Amino acid sequence: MSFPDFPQPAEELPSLVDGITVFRTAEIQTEHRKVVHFSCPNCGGNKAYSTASGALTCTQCGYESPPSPEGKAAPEARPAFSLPIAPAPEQKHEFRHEILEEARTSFVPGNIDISCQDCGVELTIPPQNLSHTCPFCNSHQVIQQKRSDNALSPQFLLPFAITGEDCVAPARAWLGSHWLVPKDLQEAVKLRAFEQVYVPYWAFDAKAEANWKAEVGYDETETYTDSEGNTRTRTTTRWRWENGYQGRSIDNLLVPGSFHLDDRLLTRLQTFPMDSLQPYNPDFLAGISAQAYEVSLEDAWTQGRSVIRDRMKEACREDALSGRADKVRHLSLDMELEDEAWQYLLLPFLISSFQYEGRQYQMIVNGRTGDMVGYRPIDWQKFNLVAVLAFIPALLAMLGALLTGQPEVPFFIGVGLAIAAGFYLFTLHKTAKSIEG
Amino acid sequence: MSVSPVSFKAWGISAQLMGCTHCQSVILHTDGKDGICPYCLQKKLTPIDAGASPNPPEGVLQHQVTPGEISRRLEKFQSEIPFTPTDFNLDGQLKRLRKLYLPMWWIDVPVKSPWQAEVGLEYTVSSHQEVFKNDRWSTIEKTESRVDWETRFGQIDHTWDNIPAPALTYFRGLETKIGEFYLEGAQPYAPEFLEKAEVLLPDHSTEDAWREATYLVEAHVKEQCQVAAEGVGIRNFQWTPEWGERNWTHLLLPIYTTYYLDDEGEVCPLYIHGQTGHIYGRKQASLKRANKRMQALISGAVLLLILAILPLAGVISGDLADPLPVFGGIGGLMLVLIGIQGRFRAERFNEIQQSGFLWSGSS
Repeated sequence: MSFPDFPQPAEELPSLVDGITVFRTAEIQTEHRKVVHFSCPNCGGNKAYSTASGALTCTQCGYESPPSPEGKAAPEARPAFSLPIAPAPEQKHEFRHEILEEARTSFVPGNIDISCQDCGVELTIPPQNLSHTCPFCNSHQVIQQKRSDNALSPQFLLPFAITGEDCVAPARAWLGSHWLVPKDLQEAVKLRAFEQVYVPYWAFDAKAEANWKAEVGYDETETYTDSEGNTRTRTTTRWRWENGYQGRSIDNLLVPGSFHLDDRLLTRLQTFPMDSLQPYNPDFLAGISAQAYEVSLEDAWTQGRSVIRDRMKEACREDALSGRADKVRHLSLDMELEDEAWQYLLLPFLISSFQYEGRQYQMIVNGRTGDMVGYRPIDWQKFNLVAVLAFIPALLAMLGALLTGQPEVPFFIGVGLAIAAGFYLFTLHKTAKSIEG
Repeated sequence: MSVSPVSFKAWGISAQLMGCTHCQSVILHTDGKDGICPYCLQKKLTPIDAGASPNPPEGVLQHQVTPGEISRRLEKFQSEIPFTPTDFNLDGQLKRLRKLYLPMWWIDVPVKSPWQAEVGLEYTVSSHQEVFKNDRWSTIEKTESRVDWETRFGQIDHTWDNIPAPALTYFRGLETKIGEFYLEGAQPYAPEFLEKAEVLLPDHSTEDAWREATYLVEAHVKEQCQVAAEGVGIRNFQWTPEWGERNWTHLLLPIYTTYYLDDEGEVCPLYIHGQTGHIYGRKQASLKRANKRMQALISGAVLLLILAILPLAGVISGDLADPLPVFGGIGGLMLVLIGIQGRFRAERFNEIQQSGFLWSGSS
């Protein structure tokens, strides 16, 4: 049956009533390509996404073409009547039971067999790889896993604004930017080229509404006269139960979907211009490594909720302490999360590493902002020297106490300096450990 | 008035076609002896020429209310009238009870049309409640049902059978008062159903009935499209129906009628739903009865006052110190007030019935 007046293309649905057919507008189906190849129409060479030009560029002849519209939202079909159609669904997804069920059951890890269109070699690649470069002919491919619901395929990505070359000079400078790192670090290490990698991320939205209850303490200073007739002051705390409400809108809370990168480093690089997100398009991945998620949606949301819990607990504590309050104890809160929604993204990072004295150190760069984080070796001899130097003033004071006839004052000064040196060294050691990773 | 029954072959009965000069009803009268219209209950029936014999009904809904139930409901109805007219006695109303069938058009209609609407589709999402107590977090996972409105469209090519439409001009008004009829369970017409029952014939033209029926069909089609699309709601329904040839038959709906006479001897009809027993009709208080009681009470009061005056002379002269005359006076006054109040109450009741609540029911 044809429907000249109805939106095209139409997809027939099962009807529960005889004599009534039911259709819905079908998404414009582009042929699902399990593997997308990128051959230059000009010379047949390999094309790759160029960060500099934002286009697919032939690595041989330099021919450029903008990313194809594939992957963008299908244009809205023409309705049969001038009917007010329901607003387009938000780009974020709700936690629908069927999608959660699919997220739990349908991701069956298994290697993917592909055949290189350029050189014909048969290859097997791991399932979490979204893109691939043939080791024999250097051609680029993007692997698109077919899902029953596109929600579990990447929906948006942030294209790279930084190339590997852009990172080299700042990385060298960054290597020598702390006095605790070895003096020869900048010259001694051989930096591996920065590789552009799209890292899977889950972005969450929610409205958090928390009702809190706590005992809030108010310090009061009072003067009194002791048994010997001296006037003294003392501070007492008056506790009382209070309650309140805190609401927060959580937007784009990012949780990494990969196990392979260091969480602590990623957390420090999560400032991305989310308004520049582009609809997913395999062209952006040509010649760039990209990973599919390994952390399941539910696990990621559990992590995300943990972050929200901490934020809201802190917000409620601050709320309790606002005004004249000095202390809070027995805090309890009941938090409702509303409008929980999620999105599956690919975010750009540049990754490099270097070896120093047999150990591997990772460096990660935000592919949009150029912010750099990583681990560096520590010159522990330098640290030990500082430790010794830190205690010298204390030792000198102690010696002074022994040599002079009045030991009390220099001794106590020595003890004070030793404590200060210890505290300084403790902090410095913590910093050194965090630098070394 | 006596009329000779005529054979209605298609109906399988012998009956007389009668017209009511009071309510203009056309009645298939199986018992034409009393000449009383079974609808308005006035003695205004006259035989009319049968002409072309009307088509027999397709279905019948049977009278289901038992005489005991009717009696209970009439009793309740009666109890709600102050100073019930003397003619209102249960035995009388039950003797006057008549079984009557009201006609309802039943239309079979084929429809072809494209349709489009927004259909509400239910889905479930999970949400969370996080509780922090005694330095520990706990999570309560909840499931919420939500409705997503999505556009659905398609083609309708279906014949809808037995779409009901009023066959009497006053049917909707009557139905509003007496209550809806449950059309499920209609049985194919058989002459036995008309034993000791009368039938009103349609006075609402098929053209007028169709106008109303199209709204019903649209509502039904809309509901069916929702069912077809497995929706929980439907909105912005649009279609452009092409109607096929309609087949008109009718269904008989059961009611009982009876009546009582008011003070002036005017007929006050009562209509009883044949499926539920709900009664509707005018509640008329008897002013005659109210007046009689008032007169009796005033007479009593006068007597009391006279009896009180005699000892009163003694009280004034100081010979008697009996308070009886005072009580007698007060009692007399109260009897007057009770009598007048009863009269006013009956009058007021009738005024209210005639103004806003001319017809009122009793369940």
